[in-house]
Amino acid sequence: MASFRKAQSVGLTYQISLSGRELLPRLARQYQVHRETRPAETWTYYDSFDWRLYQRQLTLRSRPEGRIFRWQLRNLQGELVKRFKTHDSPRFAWDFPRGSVRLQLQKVLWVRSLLPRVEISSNSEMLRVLDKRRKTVCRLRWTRSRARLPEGAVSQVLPPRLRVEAVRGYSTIRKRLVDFLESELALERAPGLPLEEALEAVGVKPADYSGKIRISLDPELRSDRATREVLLSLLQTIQANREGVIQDLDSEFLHDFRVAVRRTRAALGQIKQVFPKRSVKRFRREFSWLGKLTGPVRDLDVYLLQIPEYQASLPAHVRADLAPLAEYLNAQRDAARGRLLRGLGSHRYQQLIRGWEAFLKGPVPRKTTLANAARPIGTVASERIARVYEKVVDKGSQIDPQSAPGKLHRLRLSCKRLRYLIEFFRSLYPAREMDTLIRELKKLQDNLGDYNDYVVQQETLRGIAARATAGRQLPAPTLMCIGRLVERLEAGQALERERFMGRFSRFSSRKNARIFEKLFRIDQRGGGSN
Amino acid sequence: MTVLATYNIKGGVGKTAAAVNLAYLCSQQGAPTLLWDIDPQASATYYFRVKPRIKGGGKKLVRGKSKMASRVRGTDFEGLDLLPSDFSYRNLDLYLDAAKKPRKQLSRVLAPLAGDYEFIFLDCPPSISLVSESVFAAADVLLVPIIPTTLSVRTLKQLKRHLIENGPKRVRVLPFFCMVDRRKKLHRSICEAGSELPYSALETIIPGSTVVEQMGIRRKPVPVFAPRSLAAQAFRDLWAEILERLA
Repeated sequence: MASFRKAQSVGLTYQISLSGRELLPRLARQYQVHRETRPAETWTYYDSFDWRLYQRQLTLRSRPEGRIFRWQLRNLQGELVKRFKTHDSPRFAWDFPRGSVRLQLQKVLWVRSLLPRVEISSNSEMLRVLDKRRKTVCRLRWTRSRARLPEGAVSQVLPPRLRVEAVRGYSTIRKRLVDFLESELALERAPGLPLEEALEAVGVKPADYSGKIRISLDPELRSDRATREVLLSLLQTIQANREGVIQDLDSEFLHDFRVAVRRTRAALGQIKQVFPKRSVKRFRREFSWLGKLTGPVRDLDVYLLQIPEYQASLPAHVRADLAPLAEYLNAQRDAARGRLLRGLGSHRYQQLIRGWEAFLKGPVPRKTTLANAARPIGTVASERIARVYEKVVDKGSQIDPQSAPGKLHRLRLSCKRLRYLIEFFRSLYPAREMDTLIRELKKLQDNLGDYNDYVVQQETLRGIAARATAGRQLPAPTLMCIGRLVERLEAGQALERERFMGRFSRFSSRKNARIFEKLFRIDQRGGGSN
Repeated sequence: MTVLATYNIKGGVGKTAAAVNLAYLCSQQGAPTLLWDIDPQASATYYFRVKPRIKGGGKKLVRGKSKMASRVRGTDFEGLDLLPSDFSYRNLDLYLDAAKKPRKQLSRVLAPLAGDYEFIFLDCPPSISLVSESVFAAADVLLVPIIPTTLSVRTLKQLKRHLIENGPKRVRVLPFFCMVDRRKKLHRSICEAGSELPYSALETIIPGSTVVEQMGIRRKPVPVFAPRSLAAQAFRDLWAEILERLA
């Protein structure tokens, strides 16, 4: 961030209902003011679907000018961080011109695409406050703006704003002017930041999406009700991402969609005895179908995203040989996407989502024979987490350096279940300790996940090579590159395997075990079934 | 951050006019710009209606005791700031001489401002001294205005010799003709024989003009008070050509 322009001063913005005729004479009584009109400007503001820029207090806006696009990266207060131009409209961070902006954007946006969020057109006047030498000592920017959704038909008038823009080296005068505006003219500070006001006017709530589970549960709540809340939040994630998957805006839509589906399946399987058996069976079957439907495209996405890394792991002179593999994968992805889109547009999908929503929003039965349905979620959650934790420790301790890969795979799945359960019920427990557990578990999961990726990628690449050889779809140099990659992956796999013992013993340490016991065992003594 | 210094061994050749007008045009394109008036005559500072005084003077600046950022003054123009001159700059050579690694001092002073500005212009005093050597070390580009006379061309040769003998760093030298009077035969012939210069000159020629002289009365850059004048157009062309050379 060092090479970026630092924000020099925090500008103050005021609400202003006065007309020019009212404001200027009152200002003129105290100050010498020079008034000039600025050309009208229309800017489109961009952010990712999950508001990555907004959450880092940044705004990115652009406007076309002739054949180029002017861009400005600003902080939320409106101060310029960096400006630059492009020849077309970039979709991803890596499409921006090389340099510090691209690095910064790549760090923030990662693989997420930029979406136009709102368009703001403004007319402004600059009132320059002068000193005795007629030198500018402060600026007041008076802006009238309208906002509309990108490609929206109707624009909304935003309340006029007066912004104090400091001139460097004249802070005393600025402070006096601010006092004057607030006491003499009784101006009030604008309640929101300009972008937030514009978004609100067009009915968009920033940071309204997160792939994380953001619900807060009461430990006394009936378990079937609480489980429905968890599942409802997952359903919202599924629905929120569907459009992005269909339009193929970026790979994360499908990823979040899939994670939500997998979590749904885990919840149905792991939170036992809260829903009628028949419903559980039906929805597990249907969500399993949905999981399988989305699998192939996601797998190909992962390989495609991996290509630059694959290339980097090869000697420079053969890197270009990998290009046909990318083409091959892209072609496969197109075919897989066709199947995915048919699935998402199918009657079966609609039935599933509608039925699921109706089930989750329906009333909970007053009487139930299900063992856990009416028990408080605090107790049931602790029992389940404790149980799965024991399984993880149990499975993990049976693994020695000679164990078959399958054992690690099964441990990985148990860890995933544990992770999901902890995330579902995070709000029931002290946040700090939960975060510690998630962090510790994540380290183990990363190890197991990487190990598994190495195994699976080798198999997949070997499979691709075999099929492509049979169909003569890839040139020989590419096949040789694949051979080299498989070797690298084998080495990576061996390394992760070596690391496992250390990772696991750390996770199953006495210290972590004590936290698990403290958080999840106490309530269990109250009894209940599993 | 690109540092451009308007410099010539000779005085009265249009260094300040070039620095002020080019810095203004640069900021108008949206690039955050700083102009540092190192000349104790404080002409650039005067043009921008700023008091030619720096708290602590040149001495503290060189010793690294002043905070540069707090000495900067905004101008009438958005995106264009000024680091004013101070009369004590006449002794800058002495202060530099007393400092460790005198040639690196200006770069060190500018370093904290790198994040704030895309372009920094230095308006330098005439002569070859420790100050100018410090400028050569700090600048990426030397913009050398030359009046097309024999002596001016000679000073350019002196500069080249000096840079070759003492220049630790390769600074780009971009000379350009200014205060050109087309009616004078000598001016015409020197401009046309530009290839005989030790450096290849920029093609744009700044004509001698009363408008440029009026800067002292108007206390504004030429493109502000006479946007359609030949001089304003010449400075716009010059800036475009400089950017092209830098690209």
